[in-house]
Amino acid sequence: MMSRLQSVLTKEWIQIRRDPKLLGILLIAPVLQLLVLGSAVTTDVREVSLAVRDNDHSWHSREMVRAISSSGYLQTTMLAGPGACDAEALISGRAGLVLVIPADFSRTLLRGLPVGVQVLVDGADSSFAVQGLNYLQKALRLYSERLARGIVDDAVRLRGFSPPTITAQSRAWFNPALDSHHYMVPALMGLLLMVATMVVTSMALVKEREEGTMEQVIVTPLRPSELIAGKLLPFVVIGFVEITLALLVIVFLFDVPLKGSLLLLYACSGLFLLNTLGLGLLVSTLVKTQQQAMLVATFFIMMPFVLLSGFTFPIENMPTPIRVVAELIPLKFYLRIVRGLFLKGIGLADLWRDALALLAWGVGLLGLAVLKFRKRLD
Amino acid sequence: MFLNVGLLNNKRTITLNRNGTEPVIVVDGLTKVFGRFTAVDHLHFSVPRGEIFGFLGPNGAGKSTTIRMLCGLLSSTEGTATVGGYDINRDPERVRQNIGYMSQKFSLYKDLTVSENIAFFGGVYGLARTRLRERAAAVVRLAGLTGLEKRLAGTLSGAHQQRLALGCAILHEPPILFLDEPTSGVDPISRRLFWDLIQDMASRGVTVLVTTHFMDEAEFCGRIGFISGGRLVALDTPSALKRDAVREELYEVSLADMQGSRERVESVPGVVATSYFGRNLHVFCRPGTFTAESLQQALVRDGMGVQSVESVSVSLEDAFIRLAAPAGKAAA
Ligand SMILES: Nc1ncnc2c1ncn2[C@@H]1O[C@H](COP(=O)(O)OP(=O)(O)OP(=O)(O)O)[C@@H](O)[C@H]1O
Ligand SMILES: [Mg+2]
Repeated sequence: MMSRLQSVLTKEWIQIRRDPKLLGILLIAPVLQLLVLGSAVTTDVREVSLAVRDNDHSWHSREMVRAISSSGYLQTTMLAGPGACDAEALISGRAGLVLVIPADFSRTLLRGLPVGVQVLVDGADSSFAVQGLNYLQKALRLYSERLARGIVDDAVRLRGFSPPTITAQSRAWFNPALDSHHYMVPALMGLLLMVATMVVTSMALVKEREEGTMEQVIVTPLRPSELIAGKLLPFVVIGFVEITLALLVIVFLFDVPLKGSLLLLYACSGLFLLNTLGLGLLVSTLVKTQQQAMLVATFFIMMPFVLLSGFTFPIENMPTPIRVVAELIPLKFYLRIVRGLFLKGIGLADLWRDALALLAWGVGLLGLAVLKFRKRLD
Repeated sequence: MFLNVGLLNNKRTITLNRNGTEPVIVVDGLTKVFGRFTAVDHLHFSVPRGEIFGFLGPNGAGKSTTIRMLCGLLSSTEGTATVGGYDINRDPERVRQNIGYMSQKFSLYKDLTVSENIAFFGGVYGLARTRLRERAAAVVRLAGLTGLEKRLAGTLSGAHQQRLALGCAILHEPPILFLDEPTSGVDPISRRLFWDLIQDMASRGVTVLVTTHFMDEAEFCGRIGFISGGRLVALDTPSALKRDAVREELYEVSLADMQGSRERVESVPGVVATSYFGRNLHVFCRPGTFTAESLQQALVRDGMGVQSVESVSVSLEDAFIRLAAPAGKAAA
């Protein structure tokens, strides 16, 4: 009956409105987290500082350092004084990387032979160091290519030697702008959306059991589906408000353009909401207290989801048994959709499989939660 | 304040007014086991239409557990019951349409106002808009909550919370009411208002099953079921219980020094049990053993300073205390 559902909806709205903490968790916290975490993802890489020890002091070595600094990813300073102190720049934290150019750099280059340069890396912050190294290697490779094409030094080419190279064991790096936040920030949105909506719904039913109000609700003719729909619909609305706020932050503050369709993004987010709300509700039917709900939601759902969904580690690199589990996680499908929509601008033809998986999981989880819910106290 | 306000619409009043004939609640071997603990142990009783059935018994006796099973809140381990003609295990939803329930612990929404609580429960009971408006106004008036409609339920005094809970339980005018300690934490004046209301409803054909720890309230009940350790140990009208529940003779003894004398009185042969009664002691004696004089002599012989011994009639409280005593002691 419509009026019974309406009564539950009205009551839920009033309760949500009266609970400022809840609205904070639902709307403000995710946006703030997106701002803070999103900036963290983008800035740590831009700040890598590079100290250069030039033992060659040739036109070629200076040209290479100039090319590296003009790439814009590294802050370059030259080291003077005795070479024995070079490591100190790393230890003191003044530099994240130290580049040592050997004394025979230009001579070897002019002979058309491969040249090795030494790079000292601050290994204490490994991801930071790897990023810095990646930048350096990319800059070196660009310089080598320019060299090879003779843009830098016609003289080298005129001598008729084979194209010289500067050794750069660079890893593949596909993001052309080197902007990791184009990749991370949209995914972060998916994660925060899940955390906020799932944790709150995991409390929904168990709160009423814990506070005793469920006892009075059970003795009414209210149907389980009416109660559950009344509890979830407000969170669907709030979820979409959350997505809108996050989108505004991503597009206008982080300058990450949405290449794909906005409509598809909202539709798929709706499918993902089915999953987070279903999971939260399922937790709520399984536990006895709000504290247990919080723990189960955090440790048994959120942690595995974050670690296995490909948010932090690529799924391709996981051992097979773990990979099997990872491939089934709903968050994975959503992250793939969101990243695809933001970075590649994929359309329905590319994402329908993931969308279907989200739909199946969402309907399954919600259905299970409704079936598990009993109008009993025991 | 509570009286003279029509609670039931006319149609239902006519159909329900034939009190005391057909049973509305029939309990048949109802049992509830929690783990290895039997909280309710094979209860049998039935309540006819329009009766106020009092459910009495010490803490933990199983009163609330029984009511919760009858309301469909807990499943029964064994046995069954019908409420309003519907089986509580097979047809719990039909049962729910006919009952109003007030739980022992306040269980309305504390973060909703008085009128928001009423609107919510009226809505989930399926009251149409106009009827809900009528009923809400009637309930606020009946429960004496006029002027408090905008107050959050959590900020109401204990008595007002209880009145609101009762109001929400009768919003949809159920023919059967389960009230679990409706007057706990309520001052004597409000208690009278509660009972005026309950008696008014019963006179209109509403069947009421109510638990209480107040003996003066028990006197208002048509019949009392006394439950102890999950078992029904007595079931009768208040006057019959006072007459029959206690087989011993009862004397009220006033001693000069009460300190430690209870054990000494109980050690006198022929004395079965004692209980405090105000500043005096109620002494239950095996029938035909003592007169007031001979009991006084026996106590004086034992070295106690006796001021007076008087033969008294059994009150409900005396009956309660004797019925709640462990089975072994009662037989002594
Ligand atoms: N969910 C439960 N799990 C385990 N034991 C329970 C549960 N509910 C009640 N009990 C136990 O069952 C017994 C009967 O409890 P119940 O609440 O029915 O007593 P009561 O007669 O209503 O007592 P009171 O006068 O204190 O309200 C108690 O010993 C209680 O501890
Ligand atoms: Mg109780």
